Amino acid sequence: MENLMSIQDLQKSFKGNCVLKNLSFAVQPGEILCILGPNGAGKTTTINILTAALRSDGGTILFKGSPIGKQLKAYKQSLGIVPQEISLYEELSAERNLSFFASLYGLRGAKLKQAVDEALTFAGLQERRHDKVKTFSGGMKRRLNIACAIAHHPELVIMDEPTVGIDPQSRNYILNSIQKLRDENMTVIYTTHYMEEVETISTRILIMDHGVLIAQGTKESLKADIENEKKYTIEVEENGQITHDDFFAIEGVKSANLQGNTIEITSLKGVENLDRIIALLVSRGEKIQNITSENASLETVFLKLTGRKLRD
Amino acid sequence: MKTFFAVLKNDYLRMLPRWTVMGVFTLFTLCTMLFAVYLTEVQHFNAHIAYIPQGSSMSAPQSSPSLTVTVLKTAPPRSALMQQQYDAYVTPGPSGEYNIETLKNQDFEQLLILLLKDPNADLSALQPGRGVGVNVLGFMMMFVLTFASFNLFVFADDKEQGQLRRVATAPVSFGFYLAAHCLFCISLLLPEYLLLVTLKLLGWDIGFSLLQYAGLLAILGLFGISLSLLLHTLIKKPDNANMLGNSIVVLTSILSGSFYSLKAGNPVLDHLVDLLPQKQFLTFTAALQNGNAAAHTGPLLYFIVFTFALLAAAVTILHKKYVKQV
Amino acid sequence: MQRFYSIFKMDLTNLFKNPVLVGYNIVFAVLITAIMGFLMSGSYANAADSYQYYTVTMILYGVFNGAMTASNCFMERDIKRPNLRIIFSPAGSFPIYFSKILASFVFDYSLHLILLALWCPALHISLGSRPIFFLLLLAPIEFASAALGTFFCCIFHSEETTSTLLSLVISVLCILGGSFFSLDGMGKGLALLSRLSPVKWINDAFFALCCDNDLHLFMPVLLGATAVSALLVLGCRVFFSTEDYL
Repeated sequence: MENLMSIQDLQKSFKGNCVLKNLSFAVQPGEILCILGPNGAGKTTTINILTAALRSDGGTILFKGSPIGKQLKAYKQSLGIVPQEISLYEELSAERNLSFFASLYGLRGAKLKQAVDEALTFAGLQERRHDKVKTFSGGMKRRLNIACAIAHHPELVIMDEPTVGIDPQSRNYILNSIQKLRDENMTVIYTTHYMEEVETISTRILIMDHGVLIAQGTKESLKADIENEKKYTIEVEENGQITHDDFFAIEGVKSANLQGNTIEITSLKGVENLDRIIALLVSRGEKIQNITSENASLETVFLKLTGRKLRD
Repeated sequence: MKTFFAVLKNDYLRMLPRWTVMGVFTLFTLCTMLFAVYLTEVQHFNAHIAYIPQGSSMSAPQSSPSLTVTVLKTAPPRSALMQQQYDAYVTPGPSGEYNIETLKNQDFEQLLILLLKDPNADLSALQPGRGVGVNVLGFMMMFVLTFASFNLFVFADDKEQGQLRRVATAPVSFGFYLAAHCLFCISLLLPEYLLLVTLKLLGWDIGFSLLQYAGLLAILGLFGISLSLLLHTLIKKPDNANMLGNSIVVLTSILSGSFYSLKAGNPVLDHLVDLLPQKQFLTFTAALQNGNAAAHTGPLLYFIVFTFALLAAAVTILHKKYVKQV
Repeated sequence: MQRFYSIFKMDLTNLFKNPVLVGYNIVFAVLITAIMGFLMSGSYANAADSYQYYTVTMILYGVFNGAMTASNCFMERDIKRPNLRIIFSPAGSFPIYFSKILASFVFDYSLHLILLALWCPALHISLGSRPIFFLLLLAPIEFASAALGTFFCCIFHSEETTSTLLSLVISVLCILGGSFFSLDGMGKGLALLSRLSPVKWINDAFFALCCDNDLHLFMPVLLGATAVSALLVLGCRVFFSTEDYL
């Protein structure tokens, strides 16, 4: 299948600070591609370059085989953008906002009216179409923000953290709607911090950090590396004499991370060694306060790849 | 007190990204102050007339410090009279008198006739000018008040962006918080005060003593802050509050005669204009300049009371909205 | 063209829906003209001359203040983000700033025309034997003011900074230009200083039109304002960068 978009060796620096380094990936038609990364990873910069709002310092971006620079207007026509910030005219009604933004993509007359109706239905805002946006709740504004981007039925929709600060019901509604977009053959590029969203909707995932693509694949392929792993998190009262090596003597233990009173042990699945781990701790005089275990998840993958350290 | 200093320090830090605009504002105010000092030097009755001989043998009137005569072959267009490029067109009459064509009032015409007879006639008693101190404060007034409105962005942004609610719910003094903003705004008048100090040191007559200027500038600044604070309290959007505030300041400053003494000639309107605090402020400064401030404490008190009334209204509303929720 | 029209229509709607702007352009203009005319009427033999003077100068003051309308149209806080959402559309960047200029021009010009149409007959203000020239000459100046406001927004990226600066600059230029009181009678020095203000030249042109029916300054001012407008639009093109708003 031919790629819808092909990004090769994208580079970008701001005041000598390299934000994107040789970023390369492809976007398949009809997929929901989720871009994950900590703050400062370069996600928004990537989005801004893909939307042609920001110029890259190097690299190529092909849309349906042609560079986007050569067919900018046609490319933008095929694009729908959901900005991270709500960008709506608050003094105008939902219908007016939709009419305006859809008209920028060439829709007129009956087609415009139909597109507005469909977008309002998509956003679940038919009954509030004549109400001013400033009277909407946060969730409704987010839904309308998305509706304005898809009213003209773009081929590619780029969403920059579209569910920030909204209630679970609205988020759920939005995620379901995004899946409907895929059913309508729209391709979606989606950035988010919420793992559960990625788990729910993604076809493929890109994980970025420090301007570099550090992993890509489906949920299953990314988790496969650690699928045969299990993680135990043990909280002790006071970590005394126990060391990493003490745990490696136990069969199945792959890694041990001691941080203050918390001990994180990664072990092979299928090897029942929790009793031996507990026995070791007890024999060393450790008082166990809490034990949790978890299987491989995207969050685990993400944290493993990008680390647990807080970002600036 | 900790709140006070913390807020004050924060205000100065927030000022830094806006230093260019503030610099321009300050520069304009400084220029108007210099302009006001210069204007006082040149300010005296001066009629500028166009004399058209029309072939008459009558000699043209003589120019003098009070009368500027330009001899022309033909009368300039009416627009020149309208725009006061010339105050009057004078032509020789049949019997040795002068014919005067002017748009100005009877008083001016009488003065002009006097000057045509005796160009060096002393008119200072008839047309007393404004003192340099009144001119300086008058010219500065509009800019100081507009500047106060601009500087109160520290409060306006806090209100719009939610920091005000944070401050109100914190265990800090709301009064000190507002006082810090007020002091911040007044402190930005320091360059203007330093200019006055400089002029004084250079030997220029600036009309008032430095202490008097400090006091007058402080209360003028406080008036601007109070007005702006009340508008920002009442009006949701800071941009609208600024626009309305600037309009009020421009209109009322002009009406009060900050640039040019105005008199409606209508007792009712004159009384209405007298109600403007800026008018009372200028009345007091004129009296102070003339050495009889003691007899004119009323206008000063009116100005101060008005200022504090605006401030009290703003503080009361803010307190009710943000602090006293139970 | 259709996209430009959509954006222009939206901008014009936003302007007419802003009560502060409508009020400022009508109420403030009327108030200041009436008050100045009335207060200064005592200095004139005929009060009508006072109103004549201040109608012309205050209408022009209002025209220059149209720069603030433009900056509000472009970057007022509530509409800045949706305005800039247009960056992502196929419309391009030219319509973003040019439609603001055009919409502000149409908004201000129409309000000022209505104002003149009502005010002048009521107070017997003369716009010359051929008022069409007076009204025509207002247009390029109105456009240049709108372009100036938009241009400043492109430089400062902020409506607040633009409005504050412009308000100051315009007030000073108008004071120097004799809009509030004539500086011509205050000595050679001040008269010369007054000549440095472009407002003075513009005032001269309009007074020549309405008082002398003289068109000799009409073309220079028309062409000058048009040239300034073109330069400012070019300036917007140079200084407006979508990247600054991301």
